[in-house]
Amino acid sequence: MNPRPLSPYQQQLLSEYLDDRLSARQKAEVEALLRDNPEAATTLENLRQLRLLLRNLPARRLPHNFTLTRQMAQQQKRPPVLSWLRLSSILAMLLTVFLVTLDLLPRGATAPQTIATADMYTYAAAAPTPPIIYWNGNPGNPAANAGAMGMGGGAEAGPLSKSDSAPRPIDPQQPVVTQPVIVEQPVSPPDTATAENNSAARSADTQPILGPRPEEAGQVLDTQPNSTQLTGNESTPPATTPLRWAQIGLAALTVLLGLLTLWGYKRWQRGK
Amino acid sequence: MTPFDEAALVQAARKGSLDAFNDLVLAHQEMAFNVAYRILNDDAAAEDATQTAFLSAYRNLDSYRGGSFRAWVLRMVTNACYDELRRHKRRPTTPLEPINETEDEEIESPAWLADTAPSPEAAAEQRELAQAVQDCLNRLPDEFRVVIVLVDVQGLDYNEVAQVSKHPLGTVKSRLARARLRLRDCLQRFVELLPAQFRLKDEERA
Repeated sequence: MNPRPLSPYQQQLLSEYLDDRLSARQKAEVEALLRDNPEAATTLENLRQLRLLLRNLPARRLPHNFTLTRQMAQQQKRPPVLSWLRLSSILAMLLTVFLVTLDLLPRGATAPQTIATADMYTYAAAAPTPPIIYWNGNPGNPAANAGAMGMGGGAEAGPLSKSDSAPRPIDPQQPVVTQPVIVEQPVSPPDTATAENNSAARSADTQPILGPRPEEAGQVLDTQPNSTQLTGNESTPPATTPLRWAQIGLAALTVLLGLLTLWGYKRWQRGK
Repeated sequence: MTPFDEAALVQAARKGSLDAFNDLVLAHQEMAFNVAYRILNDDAAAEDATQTAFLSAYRNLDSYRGGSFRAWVLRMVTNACYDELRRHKRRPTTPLEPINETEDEEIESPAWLADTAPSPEAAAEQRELAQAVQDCLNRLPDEFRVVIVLVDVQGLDYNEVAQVSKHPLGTVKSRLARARLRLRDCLQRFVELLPAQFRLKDEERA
């Protein structure tokens, strides 16, 4: 029988065998190992001697009794107010972090979808009714079509009414309109730009509407209502929001509670 | 103290009786101090850790949920020892010479002195051996040292140690086996102090 190195598993088995913590099967395994490998027997004997040595170490004498006096018992109790202060400061800090995080997120991520939809409807209602172009003339206004002979394209008309939406039979006596006739719609209230547009449109009844009118060439026409006002609003600095006030207030509260807790702990530690 | 008495004392202490708690302290203080000393290898630090542990136990009596009160107290002691060890690692100090306040105390040697082979003529063989064992215990990792002190020095069973250390039973068994083997290997350096059975390993390898 040559001694062979023991595996960590076998070493642990020997340790547990020493404390009689093994099952019957494991015990049989260890006993077979002890018969086959002299290294296992030596190790077991070493461990047994080691345990004996440790059990017989001289006990240290106590320097004094460790019983508590009334004063020690009372001073060790942490005042409940300190626990409340600590909890409050932690809560305030968490709320502050939450609000700051909320503010840092992109607007689209936090703004409700319904608000954006409402804004869209508001702009749509404020916008002027778009002109409707009738190719081959306005069926509701043959007179306007008469002046557009030979120009091609379509004709602008007012908003659709019930009578407009119904299909109309083609009158064989009516001349074929080859030029669109622009029919201006009343816009209320008229502003300067719109009035100029209207007069230009009236004078250009005989002009095609596909592409800009000659007098409008090179100009940028903005028919979006209040667009200048919107642009102006974006350039002004944002006012302090309630969210910002809440952040500032909570941050101040966190600092205050933290300082109070620290001061309380210091006083308590000094009093111990 | 019978378990019944201990349970009654714990009950009384939880109702606010300091005398009942002090009876529990008297019953467990020797074991608590010795565990702290074997882990910390310093009388003053062990004294502080033991006192801190009993104060902590009194303050947290409400968290005791039954079972072995000894294991619960030892948990406080080992926690206080871990705190002390962490504090010591942050601010390490090296003693320049041993301090012997009274003649009848055990002779303590600093670790750097124990690194050389101890002289059997310097003190009684038994004391030298005890010191050698303590030096080897100090060389173990903290978590190994706690387990071997609780099982082999104090005689706790595996389940109590698992309760003290809050580790699974398998971890306790594994750490104990490794700690024992490391300690055995370390003690081979003090072969002249060891009993004859201990020398078997060394002689066979020679």
